[in-house]
Amino acid sequence: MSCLSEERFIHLLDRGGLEAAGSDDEFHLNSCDACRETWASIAAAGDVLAEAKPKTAGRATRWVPLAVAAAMLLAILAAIALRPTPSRDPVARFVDGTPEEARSARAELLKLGRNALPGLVAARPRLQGKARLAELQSLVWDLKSSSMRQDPEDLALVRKLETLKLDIAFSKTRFEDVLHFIRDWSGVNMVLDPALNPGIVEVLRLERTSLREVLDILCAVEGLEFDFRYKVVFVSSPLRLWSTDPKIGVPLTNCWRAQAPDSDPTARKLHTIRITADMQNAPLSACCEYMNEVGGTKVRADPSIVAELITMKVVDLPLDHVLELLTLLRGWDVRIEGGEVLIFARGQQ
Amino acid sequence: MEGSRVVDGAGFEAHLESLRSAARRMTSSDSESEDLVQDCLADAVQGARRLRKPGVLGAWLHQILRRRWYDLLRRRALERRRSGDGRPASDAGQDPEAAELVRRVLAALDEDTRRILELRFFQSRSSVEIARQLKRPAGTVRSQLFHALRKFESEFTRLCPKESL
Repeated sequence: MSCLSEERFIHLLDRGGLEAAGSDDEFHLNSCDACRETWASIAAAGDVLAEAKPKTAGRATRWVPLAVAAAMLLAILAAIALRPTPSRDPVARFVDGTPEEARSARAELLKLGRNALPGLVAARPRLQGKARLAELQSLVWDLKSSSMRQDPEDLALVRKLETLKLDIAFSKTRFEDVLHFIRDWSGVNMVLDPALNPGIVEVLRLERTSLREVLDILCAVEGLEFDFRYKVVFVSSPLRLWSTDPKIGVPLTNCWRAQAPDSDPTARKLHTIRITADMQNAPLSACCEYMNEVGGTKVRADPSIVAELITMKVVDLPLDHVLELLTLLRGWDVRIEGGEVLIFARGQQ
Repeated sequence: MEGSRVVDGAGFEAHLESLRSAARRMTSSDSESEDLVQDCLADAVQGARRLRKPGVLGAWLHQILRRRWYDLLRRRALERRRSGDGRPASDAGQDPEAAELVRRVLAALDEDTRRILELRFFQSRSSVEIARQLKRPAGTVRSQLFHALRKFESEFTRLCPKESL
């Protein structure tokens, strides 16, 4: 086979990199030093350029009102949780009550399901260094995993977090790099909320620790939390995860689910087709092209958002959940129109 | 750690020699090139599970190596600039001055080259979208993008010369 053309190199770059290489490209890149060097040179130059992209003021400040609202709500939740009254609030009884009161409060909180999580998480700092912290962590885990025990695939994910043990040692490492390492090592799909920009993990050293505990500790370092969402482990702020206020919490599903019956051919495709995607600063338009190619269903994005850059990695995930991760975390949504899947910014319906 | 047991030796050995000679060509120094290859392999071990096509392992490793080299050139160029005011150079990738350095490289390019690179990497347009915007055939735009990246690379290494290492 002859060397890759200039156009082909750029085509690969547009498609997000080497993962988009066809079998011919793969075979050739494996055997041709010159093409390998050329690829390395232009792809690395592209990385340097993309990294220097000027940040627009709008994008940088977009989350400020949300952060302020989140801080206020968190303060309110904390005030409720920390109220020193012998109220009948099950969180307060679980945290401050006698062992008997804590046991009955636990049963009540389990009945509340995920709605109990914000209060429990807000109360957690009060238990630092106390024996009941482990009980609270155990309750939080039970609340997160209780809805995951019906579906065998969900159950396997829960079991993996409970049983996989790892040794890690990081210092001065970006939060997302630590998370990505754990994701790649464990093979569990983990997605960090792109609305967040967590900082540097100063020191994290754990031995023979379960994946679930590693995530608990890692998230606690940055004031974050994780939950099972969209068939992945989704890491975000407690409010984004569990707030029922649609202006703050991340929606659970795309709007097309209410729009199209399960028998709709496009909906069926979204449910059944599974894809693997590794998008690194890829324009949304390129992500759509990739999904068209791999998923065999027409996916397109509103022109106002096609240039947005996407970084996301998932392995073997149903297309409907890939779309949820791609859109809901960024304030977008998905509808089905004439058999096509349309990604749009919420508020532009 | 356990993670590295899974990925270490995942075919890296087959590419070590070509990485070393590429690194030597870049740095013109045995010790610098060895450091560069070590850094590259450390990055690769962290990211190896992301790679699902074994046939592109070599190209991927060379891409990391080249990226490491650009980072090193950039960091040293910034260190040189700051040596006068005593400020330490931070991680080049997260440094606003590093981004400014890249924009200076762009400013040194001809207008058409700069424009096409800005459209692709600053405004995140795909080559098809750029073609639509500039009213040129997509194939022409891809070819122009390819040469624009080459020119950028050449200007970048001119502004951050390895002699400063």
